[in-house]
Amino acid sequence: MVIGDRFAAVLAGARTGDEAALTEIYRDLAGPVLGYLRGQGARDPEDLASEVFVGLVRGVGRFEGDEQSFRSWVFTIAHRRLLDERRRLARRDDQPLERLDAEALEGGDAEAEAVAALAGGHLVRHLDRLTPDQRSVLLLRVVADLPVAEVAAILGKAPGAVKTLQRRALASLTRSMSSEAVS
Amino acid sequence: MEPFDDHTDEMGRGLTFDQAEAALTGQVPAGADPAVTDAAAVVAGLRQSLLVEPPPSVADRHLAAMLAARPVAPSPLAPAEVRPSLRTRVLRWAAVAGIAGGVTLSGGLAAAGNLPGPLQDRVSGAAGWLGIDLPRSSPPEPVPAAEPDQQDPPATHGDAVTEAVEGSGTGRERGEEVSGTADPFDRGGHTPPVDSPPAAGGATGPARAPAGPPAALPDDVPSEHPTAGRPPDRPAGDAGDGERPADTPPEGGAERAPDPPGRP
Repeated sequence: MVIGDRFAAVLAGARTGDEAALTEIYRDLAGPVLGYLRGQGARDPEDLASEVFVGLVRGVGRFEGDEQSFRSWVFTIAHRRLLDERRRLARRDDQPLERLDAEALEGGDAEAEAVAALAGGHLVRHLDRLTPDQRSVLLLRVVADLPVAEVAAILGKAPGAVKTLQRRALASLTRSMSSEAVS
Repeated sequence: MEPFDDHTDEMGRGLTFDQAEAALTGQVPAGADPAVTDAAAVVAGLRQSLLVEPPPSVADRHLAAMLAARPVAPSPLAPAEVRPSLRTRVLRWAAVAGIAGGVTLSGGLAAAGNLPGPLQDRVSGAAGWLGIDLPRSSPPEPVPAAEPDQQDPPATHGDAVTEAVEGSGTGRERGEEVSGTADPFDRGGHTPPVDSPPAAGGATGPARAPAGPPAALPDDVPSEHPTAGRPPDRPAGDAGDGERPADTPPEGGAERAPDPPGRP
């Protein structure tokens, strides 16, 4: 959590549409939200992230809770927007969902792109080998930095199921990368 | 490659919940199982790959969209506007619909000339301000049949008689004046009394003046004296009770559309 003790004041400002408060919230959450959408293989993560933050502004007046709950709420919006996009694309039945690749990482600044490409850009390709639930759990735990209970609430699963999913996801991903390294 | 399912996962290297939690949180104890260390490295790589701040252009676009979606800030001078409840909004809609229905209904009745007399006149007058021509219950001023030489006749025959009776002069003079009031109206096309001769020129002129002595007409001749044989105290063209005879053109009759067939 980046905002910390000032969260209540920032939230109050965001409710009234205060620009500084909204900017602070965006700076705190933009990276994780974009990372989650990219990791999920969203077709246009930046546009989808824009929808998420617009939804945040429209709904923040009704939100009640602490920073942890707020973060969980924002990723609930992100997850639902992602499902909406997938349904939309499935109805159109035009192209298969794009998985995260080099194109999906385009748009960042040169330094960030270089870091992603060199340090672990290839890692995200292995996410395709996970089941959708494993992928969602892993991304919400790793990128959104949410605890098991919040992930379970977002996905509508029991905490025990989330624990199992995250354990298997992590093992599968590690094994996939190990096998790639050997080959 | 097919996604790893639970079956292949069970066949591969497993992690306990605590080990997975340690790898996910990055709190791997020293001397931990290599599988945990590997998993922690994978998690760190994922974070590094995905947690990238958006470029400034994207961030500016997102922030602009957020600011555009803000609720409108209430004016500091005006009290906060409270959204009316559903019940209030429904009642408002019902009121508006009722008013609209009433206006439509009265407008339709007014257009058909079926409203009660005073109301018809008011609606007609109001519509006139809007440039809408609606029939009146009765003409505001009786317009005798076109007679170019007749200037400013009294509003009604009864008024004319009253005026003559109440005027100055001797009883005879007033009697003659009362008799004379019949003349212009008869020339205006009124039906002459049954006993009037249907001669050319009608019952015009002083020939219809009483032939008897002036004293035959008392000084207090009532205004409803049936001088011209028409109903008492009725202006020409006025059938009374706010109803207009079907054959009487309304005021500005040339502008009014003809009555639909079957109308009285």
